Amino acid sequence: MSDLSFWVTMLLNGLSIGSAYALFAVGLAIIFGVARVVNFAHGDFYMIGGYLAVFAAGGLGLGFWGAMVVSTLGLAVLGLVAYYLLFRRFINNSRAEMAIVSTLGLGLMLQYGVLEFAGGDARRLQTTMTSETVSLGLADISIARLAVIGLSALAIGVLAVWLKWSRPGRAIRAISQSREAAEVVGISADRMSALAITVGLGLAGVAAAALTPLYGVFPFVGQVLVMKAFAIVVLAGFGSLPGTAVAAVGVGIAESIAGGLGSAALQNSAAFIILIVALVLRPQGLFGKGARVA
Amino acid sequence: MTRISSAAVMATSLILLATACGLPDDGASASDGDGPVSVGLSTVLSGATAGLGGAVVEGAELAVKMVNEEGGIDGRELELRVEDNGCNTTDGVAAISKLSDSTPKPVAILGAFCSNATLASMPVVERNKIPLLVDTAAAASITEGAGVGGNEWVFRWGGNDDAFAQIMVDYLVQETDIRKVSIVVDNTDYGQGGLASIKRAIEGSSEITVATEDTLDLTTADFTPTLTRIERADPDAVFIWSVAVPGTLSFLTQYGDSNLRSLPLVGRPNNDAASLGVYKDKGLTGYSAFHYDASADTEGNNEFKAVWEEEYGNLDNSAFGYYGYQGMMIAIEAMREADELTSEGVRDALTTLDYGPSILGGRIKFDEHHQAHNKAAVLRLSGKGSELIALLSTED
Repeated sequence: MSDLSFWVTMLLNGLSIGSAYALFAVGLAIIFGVARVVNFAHGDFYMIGGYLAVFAAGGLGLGFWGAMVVSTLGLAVLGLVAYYLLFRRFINNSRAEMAIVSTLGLGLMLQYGVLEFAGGDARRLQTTMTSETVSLGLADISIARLAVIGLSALAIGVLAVWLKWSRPGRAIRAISQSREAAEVVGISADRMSALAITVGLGLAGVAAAALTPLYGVFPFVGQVLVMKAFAIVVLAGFGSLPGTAVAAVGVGIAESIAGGLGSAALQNSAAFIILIVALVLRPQGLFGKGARVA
Repeated sequence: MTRISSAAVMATSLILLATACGLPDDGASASDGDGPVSVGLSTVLSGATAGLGGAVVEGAELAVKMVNEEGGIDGRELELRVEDNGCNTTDGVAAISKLSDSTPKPVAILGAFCSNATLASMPVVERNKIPLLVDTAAAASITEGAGVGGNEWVFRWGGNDDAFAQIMVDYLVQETDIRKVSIVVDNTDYGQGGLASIKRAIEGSSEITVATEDTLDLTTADFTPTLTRIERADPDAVFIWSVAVPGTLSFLTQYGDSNLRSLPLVGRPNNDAASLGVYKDKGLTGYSAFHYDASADTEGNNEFKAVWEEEYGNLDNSAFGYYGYQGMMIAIEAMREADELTSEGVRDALTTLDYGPSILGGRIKFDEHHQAHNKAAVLRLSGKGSELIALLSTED
């Protein structure tokens, strides 16, 4: 492997890892921006999405794309249910610790529920996309990783257009910018929060189906991803969707280079090193101007 | 003094008197006399590997049943006490303490499956003067601290990391063209112990060189940066030493998706059903040094499998049942050779024991560090499964 080939491979790896983080972190950011809920159970919803994808692809024989639909819709519906059963109680509640403790508890409940129900072994969504590669001249990349990059760009692009041009999207942005002002003009914060959580968890469903062929799924798979995603959301400045996507790709590339040139330990700490340095230099985050969406 | 306080003093005195009468002076005489002889077993009966520990219990129970049907030990019935150590240090100490304090006092304890639980148990058996017969726990530090290492009560009949790493290096040199390896271990005690053993084995060989060395955090989602760095170093094989957890399977899957997939995984790659499924899906190959393989065609193993199948109806749990059965058979032999049927007597018998042939055809004779040098299996792993290709001595 030549030096140039190595660097191109590192960048492609980083883009793939960063795209996965982006799908995950953008969902967290939109939920926080609109519903003002720090969803510590986000990684565990992702895990549920992974199991749904494995079941849809293997048990129902729907294949990768069918699994993507099941996982995305499944988590979106689960998000809606979770909102009306749990998250709604935090809206207009100034006690942020309630949200933290409740979502942490929900996450643990999901982890141990799945452990009890399905066991602790890793499950895989089997597809030939992980071993089939595309040559980009200096480096090869698997179709599964290209799919992660493409799906992430597509999902976040569609989300950005929807937020900018659609009526509900504009309402979501209004709520994120000023909840009181939006409610004065007749926008329902309650309904928009439900919509934001549905969309945020739907994105986690896309991430789950896209990443499970690569990483597998097991009850605790979401724990590390959610920590990285939180670091990215904070790094970007809470609520900034383009900032979150850019920060995610940046962290992915930094991790890839740190792991490729340094060590696995450096790879795992890269996101948090960047976060600490960035917050010292720019406490509001790289793209933060207060909480907002888009 | 009021009536209540007088009654309380009297009751307390009676309890103390009764307790003092009920306790053996040093516990050692508890197994004396005509009552049953007790042997303890500390193993993992909870968590992800609970099933494996359950099989160990079945193996020990089978050996106990067989010896009791033959009249027991010197006419006394043998009884087994089992405690769950959860494969962790806290529960490990609790389990070994409970066994040590049981009545009658065990003349030996088998266990403790995991290296961390075994290491935590060592000071407890030393304090209580009960020999611990170590089975699957392979950390080199266990026998470094045993025998002349200081703890006279710990004996390992199973293989250790140093022996497995040495066997693998010897096998690579003698039977393959693999000369340059990348080392990948995890950040657990098991992985780090393996790393030290791999380095010792490679340093002793002039023919194997190290291309890269990585310690993995198995909670990592994406291993491609590490895999790309390994690919760039152009090794002939990847020397892996990692526990069987979901993160290891994720690493294996990503290895199978990388350009490294044609390189064999050597050392202690996992050969559980899920891992072998990845070998099949991705076309991976590997060589693993292991304690035991059920397909070993030795007289002892054929006899073991026959009695197992007769007892349990199938061989499903026999691979880990082996540890309970073989460990108990060694303990029974030491009990028969002991001058007196106490924990001290069994300890003394173990130091001079020469038992064999073992199930794998080796001899169990403990060296100055109380490490036996039984035979070990070298397995070839592939999409077809795990295949025994050699039974090698772990003698240095």
